[in-house]
This record gives sequence, C-alpha cells and structure tokens, in this order.
Amino acid sequence: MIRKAFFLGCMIPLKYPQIEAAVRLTMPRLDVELVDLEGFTCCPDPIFFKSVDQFAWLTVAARNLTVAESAGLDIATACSGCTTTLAEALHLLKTRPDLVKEVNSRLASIGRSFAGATNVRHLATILRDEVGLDRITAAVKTKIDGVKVAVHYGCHLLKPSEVAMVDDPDFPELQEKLVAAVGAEPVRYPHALKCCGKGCIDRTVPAAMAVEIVESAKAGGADALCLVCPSCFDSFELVQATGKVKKEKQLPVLSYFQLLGLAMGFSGEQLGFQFHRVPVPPGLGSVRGKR
Amino acid sequence: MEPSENIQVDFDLAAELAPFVIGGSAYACFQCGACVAECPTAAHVEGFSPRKVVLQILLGDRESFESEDALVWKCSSCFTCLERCPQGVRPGELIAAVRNWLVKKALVPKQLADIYNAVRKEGRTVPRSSAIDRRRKELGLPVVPDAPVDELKSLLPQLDRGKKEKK
Ligand code: SF4
Ligand code: SF4
Repeated sequence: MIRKAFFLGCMIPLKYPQIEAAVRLTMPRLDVELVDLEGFTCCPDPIFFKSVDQFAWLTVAARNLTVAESAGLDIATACSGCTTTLAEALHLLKTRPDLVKEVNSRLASIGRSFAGATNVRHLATILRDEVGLDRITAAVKTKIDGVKVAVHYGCHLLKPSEVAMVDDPDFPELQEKLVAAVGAEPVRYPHALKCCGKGCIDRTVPAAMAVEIVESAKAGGADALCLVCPSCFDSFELVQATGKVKKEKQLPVLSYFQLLGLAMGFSGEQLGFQFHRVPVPPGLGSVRGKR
Repeated sequence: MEPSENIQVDFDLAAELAPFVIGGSAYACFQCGACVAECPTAAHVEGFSPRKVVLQILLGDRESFESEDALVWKCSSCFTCLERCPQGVRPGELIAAVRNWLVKKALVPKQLADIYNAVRKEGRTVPRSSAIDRRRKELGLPVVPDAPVDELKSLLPQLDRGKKEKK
C-alpha cells in the first residue's frame, strides 16, 4: 500500500471537482491510499502569487509542507502548479540554509517550523515510479483501444527540470507511457510541449496560446486532449467554450485520471463528464452517449 | 543598444533588485538570445523578450519596468528560458524578482493583487460556490474543509496598492 497526503489545491476541488472524483475513484484500485489532512491552504500559486511576493510564497508553501511533516507523510498532488510550488519550495529550503532561517522565523509566529521531512510528487509521477505501468494495465477493465489521445504536458510538471526531476523537458515520455498503459493511443503533435497560456496576464494572448495547441492536436488526428494539470484543463475548456475554436476543430479535454477511470470501467457520469463544456463523445464513455 | 556594444551595468538597479532575487543572476548574461527562441510570450507579444528584460536590468532601464502594464507582466512563467540559458541566468526567475520589486512600489496589476488577497483572506485562489458544492455532492465528494485563515493572516502582510486599494 502506498500512503500519501493528498494535496488538493484550489482549482481541482473548487472548480473542476470531476478531476478529484476521478482521482478518488481510481487510486484505491492501484493500492494508493490518499490521506486527507487538515490544514492545507493554496500551495500558493507559482505564478501570480509568487510574482507579488516570493518570500511570502515560500513561507506559505513551507507552512503546507509542515502540515505533511507533522503527519509523517509525503505529499501527492494532481496539479502541476501545486507540484512546482511545493517541490521548488522544498528544493530551495533544502539547499539554502539562509532561506530556512528566514522562513522559520516567520513560521514561528504560528508555532510551526520547517524540518524538511517530507517529499512532493505529482500523482502522474507516482503512477510511473511507485505504482508501475504494469499495475495500471492490469487494472484496465474496459478496452479503450483505438482512442487517440493528444497528450498536453503543461509547463510545470517538467520545468524547471532540476527541481521537477520528472522527465526530459524536451523529450518527455511520462504521459505517453501512462496513456499507452490504459490501452489508448498517444498522438504526438507539434505543440505538445507549448504553454497553455494560463500564466500570461493579457486580454488576448492566453487564448491565442491555447487555440494553437488545440488546433495542433486536432490536426495531429487526436480524439481528445489529455493532461495532468487543472490550469491547462481550464485553459482548453474555456477557450473552446467561448467559441475561439470552430466546432469541427474542437477536442474534448480529459484529465488523465478520468481516462484511467474510463479504462477501469467507471462511467462518464461518475467521472463528471456531464460538467464538461466541450462534450465528451460516446466513444469516450460520455453520459449522453450511454443513454 | 546592440548586444555587441559594451554594457555599462547600472549597479544601483541591480542592488535594488537583489533582495528580491531568489535564483539566477543577470550579471552572467552574455545576451546570446537562447532564451528567446521558445519563449511563448515572445512569440505572441510584440517587443517582449527575456533577453531584453535581462539587458534592461543590467542597464538600469527603470522606465521600461515602472508601470502596471509593463511588458514584464506578460511573461507566462513557463520556465522554458530556465532550461535554455547556458549561463544560469534564470530569466523567468529574474522577471519574478522585478515583479516583486514593482509590487513594493505599489505597481501591481489588479489580477495579481486579487489572488494575493484571496489567499490571505480565504486561503484559496478560487472562491467557494454553491454550484460547485452541488457538483461535489453529485460526485459523492466530501465538503472542502475551511483553510486555516488565521495562520495565513499572521504570515501574510497586507498588500499596499497605493491609492487604488481604498474602495
Ligand atoms: S539565454 Fe541566458 S545568457 Fe543568453 S540571453 Fe538569455 S539570459 Fe542571457
Ligand atoms: S518564463 Fe517567461 S520569459 Fe521565460 S520563456 Fe517562459 S514566458 Fe518567456
């Protein structure tokens, strides 16, 4: 049994709970126990919050790490943003004694202290390294062979690579392996590694970045976009729902955990497809298709 | 200025920025431009380039930074430039430092101030909503616990947005 503290963050529980549902349905079948701890807050956000005050960012991240430390658990997340914040904070605090001193003097005011006794991994990485791809394949109950899935990596699962330590940031294979393990067919397309645009403060640029990726994946022959970050999920759902991608070029957006759930035999309804703005078609187990 | 000219480093600005820099160093930049090729913001925003931001830091070009809609706010923090830079400059991190410095001068875009304040006051960037509560129920998910806001309030100073904050 693999036991981890489940770090939910903000976007998943409060905007896209279908991702949380997929995680909570699928992980027990792979003997991953996710423990809900009290006291976690926003990670905090690695782009906007950090841009306001990096030391505040580091302090709040360190506070979250202490919550897992007290429970004696390592952290598992389902969000690349949470992963990058917590992993980078941990990396900084483990390599910079000056920062530990500064952070701990701030944390002392709330009776906490960072000790460095936890680790942080994205569940996607845990699936590959701790659960194992064979175990995933063995848990597949419903064949979804033939479904072509365009993997979108997102920036912060892989970068900065010396902190993430997940895969080669230019030639990653992690998500293709995960997709293939459930029997779907991973599709490579030119924009697979591009930024979804979520982090850019501008009226038009983020949408332009997201549109490029959706269209590139569609042109690559994909039936769906598959990703492991709720911010990317948000970018692609919103940009398509607001009509910036023509109907015939649209692609349903799935969290990898939903794809895994489908392969394990859970229904589209259990996995929350009814809440998707871009409808998930029958071949992918949509609730509409099944009725 | 062309990259080939000698750069007269403005140590004043560099010194002012130093307290905000957690990683990276502008001094190591030799203006090669490797950070630009795959920068998504450079591809979409006219005039934006991480190489140029680093040069502006070195030259002490304050004017190009000191506004709420300066180009430096357009970086999408994708960290591709960190992978590309052969000199360990970490342009994306320096951009975060410039932003922190601007925030201290009360030059902060509303979007960012809102996120900081949401974390300070509610512990999360996304507010609770009854629509999502209903979805959670339908999916059989537990209620999202409240965040320990007291602890956050004592850790996070109030944000000064100059006159704009008083509403
Ligand atoms: S890649 Fe590094 S050294 Fe080259 S211009 Fe960019 S910051 Fe400077
Ligand atoms: S972090 Fe910013 S400057 Fe660097 S490549 Fe990404 S968008 Fe460009």
